[in-house]
Amino acid sequence: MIQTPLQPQRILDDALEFNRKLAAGLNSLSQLGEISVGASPKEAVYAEDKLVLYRYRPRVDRPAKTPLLIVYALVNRPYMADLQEDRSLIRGLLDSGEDVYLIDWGYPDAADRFLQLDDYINGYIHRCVDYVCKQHGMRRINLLGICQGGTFGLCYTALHPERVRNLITMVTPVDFHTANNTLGQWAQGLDVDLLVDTVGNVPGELLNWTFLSLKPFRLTGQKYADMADMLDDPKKLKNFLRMEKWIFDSPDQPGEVFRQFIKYFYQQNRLVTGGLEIGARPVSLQQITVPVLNIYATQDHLVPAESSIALGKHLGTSDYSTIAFQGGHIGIYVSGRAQKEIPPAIARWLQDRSS
Amino acid sequence: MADSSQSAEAWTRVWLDAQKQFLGAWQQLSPAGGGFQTPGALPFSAGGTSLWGQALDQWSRMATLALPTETQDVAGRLAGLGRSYLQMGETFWHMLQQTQSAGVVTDWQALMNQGLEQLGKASSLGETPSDPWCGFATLWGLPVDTWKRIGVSLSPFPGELEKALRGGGVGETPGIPATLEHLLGLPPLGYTRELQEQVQEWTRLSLEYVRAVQAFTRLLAKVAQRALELMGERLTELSCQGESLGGLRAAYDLWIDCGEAAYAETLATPEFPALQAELVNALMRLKYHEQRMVEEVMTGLNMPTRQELDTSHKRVYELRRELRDLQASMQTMTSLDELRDQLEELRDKIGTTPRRVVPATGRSAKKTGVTRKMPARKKAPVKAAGRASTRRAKPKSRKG
Repeated sequence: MIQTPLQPQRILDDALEFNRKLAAGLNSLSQLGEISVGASPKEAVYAEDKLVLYRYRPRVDRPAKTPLLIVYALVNRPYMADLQEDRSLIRGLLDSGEDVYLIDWGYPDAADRFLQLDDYINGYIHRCVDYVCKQHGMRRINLLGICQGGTFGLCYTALHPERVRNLITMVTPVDFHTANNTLGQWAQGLDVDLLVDTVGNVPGELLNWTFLSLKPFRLTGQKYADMADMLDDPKKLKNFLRMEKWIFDSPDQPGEVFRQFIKYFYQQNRLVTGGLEIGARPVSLQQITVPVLNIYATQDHLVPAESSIALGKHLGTSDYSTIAFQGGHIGIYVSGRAQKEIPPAIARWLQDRSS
Repeated sequence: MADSSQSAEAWTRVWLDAQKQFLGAWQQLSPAGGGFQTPGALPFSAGGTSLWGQALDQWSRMATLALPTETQDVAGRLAGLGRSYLQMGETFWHMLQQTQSAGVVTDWQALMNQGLEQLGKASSLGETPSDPWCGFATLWGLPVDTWKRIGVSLSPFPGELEKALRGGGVGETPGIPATLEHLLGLPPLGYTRELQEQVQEWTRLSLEYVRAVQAFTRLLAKVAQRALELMGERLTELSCQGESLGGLRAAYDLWIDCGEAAYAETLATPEFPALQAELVNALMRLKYHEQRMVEEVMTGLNMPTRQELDTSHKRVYELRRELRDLQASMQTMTSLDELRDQLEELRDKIGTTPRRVVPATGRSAKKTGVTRKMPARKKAPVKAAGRASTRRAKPKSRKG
């Protein structure tokens, strides 16, 4: 027989095995029940429009004196930071003694179409910060921005330095024009005015399509082949489905804020090149003089590491630290290594700056 | 829960029974079963149609209905993947069968190249040039398939109309676009002149969109071709080295790696972002025009329109902003009043009150908030800057 790189019997075996798994998986899927997300107990403490501010129940007797407010992106839902008990950035922070608040932006509808960056940064975030400050009798709190929420956090800190004690950014895009920033390149030719004028709020499904298009073979094919391998393990299957739920749980983006974000950041790169104004006030990273911790993922396909690393060149602060996480944009929240490395590192960095 | 579980079990039995039959037929043809004797007689294919794939489709369509709503979508995706996966298995099986049939040693590499070429044709636009959604996109589940759903969901016209325009009217007969273009150039006349103009414009924008879809799909088809080339190169390498890749899963993973590599090559070209942007822009131009047409009809029927709602939303939004600005101004004024009162209290305590020159005008000044607010506003940034410079003066090592 001639030597071929493929073995006929193994092709047959694999095909039949796949079908066996598929059939067995149907049973598993029918018995899984509800796919729950959000592991840590929390309480809604403030609400405004679609926004809800949550406070997580502390897990130590004497949590840190200065509370930590998490600002998540408008894209996708914030429960990624607290997906399940053993995959939760928030739980890790609570275990490390932090007193954690989180802004949930909700699902904007057509009535929110005209909200601008000014409303989010100088409005919603500022009022949430005010609320937390008042509750704790403090003038300044710690801020943790995730992804686009990190960009918002940078803008907020630049505009309201008196309200932020320490700033942490996670997988945050700063320079939108680095060579490997695929999303940045795709945005250049997009007629965002026409898009927003046409659809109003930008559908979450359109964003999903964009993100899947970054790695289509893996994200629309291989991922489900991997899923077939875990169909007979209910625990792994539930983990997979939680992630799947999060990936496709994409709120629509308020039209005007999307228009501004694409134009100012993705197309014109104003955060780095200058000229950014929010609410008629200039925003410069040089205005940020508080301590900054920048955490980025080395294999991030959505926010390339270089895009985040650029922050160091533009800040006004002299206290700037970085953590390079060996993983991707999602792994930084949910991987086992992330649970061990990221929350304790954040807590240590904050403690060093608590006095 | 109990019902869906029992129902799922029943569907599982149906599928496994079917698998047993396929297994028996396949094993008869496998080398272990003395097979590969009758080339072309694949038990899972008939007339070029994959029976196994068909069976899987039918089974999964029915079976997923037995699942809770929450997991139906995932099960559908899994079944879709299964179809592609098994199609790949069939292709490779067929290639191997030809290579080793009747004990005749055949040139593996030549057959492999031939097989990959056939796979390429089946997965490109070549097979069904009229429909860019067919072939490559449906076989490998690439972005075009997702885009198809988005395009339809964003259009106020039914998906079938869009498909008819795309498939039946344009692609199948290459001469039609030119004819249409010619017709679109004719000046509208008579009482319905404006309507004719709108329809002409809609047709023109529809053609633009179809062209954008076709251009993007052709680019993705090139990705598939390149992926197959890369896969062929890798298999040849393994063959020359006398190494074994293994089974179907390993082949599938290799395909994914080659696919991503080919896709990354295409992403790096300026063509990709340009065509992708045009895909979105062309759809938006079409949809924007459709909206205007629909709005006109709705206005004629005295029905509310999207534009009217947007206007209302915008006014509400602007009013809210004005209200917030006013509230903020009032808060600033109140704070200044409080500060002034505190200052006066302190002065009283330390006995400087008698030195106040204009107590009477101070009272009236309180009422005219504008004059008192302005200087205080100017002072605020100075204070902030002062704090900032103090902090920066502290020596700190920069860890980054």
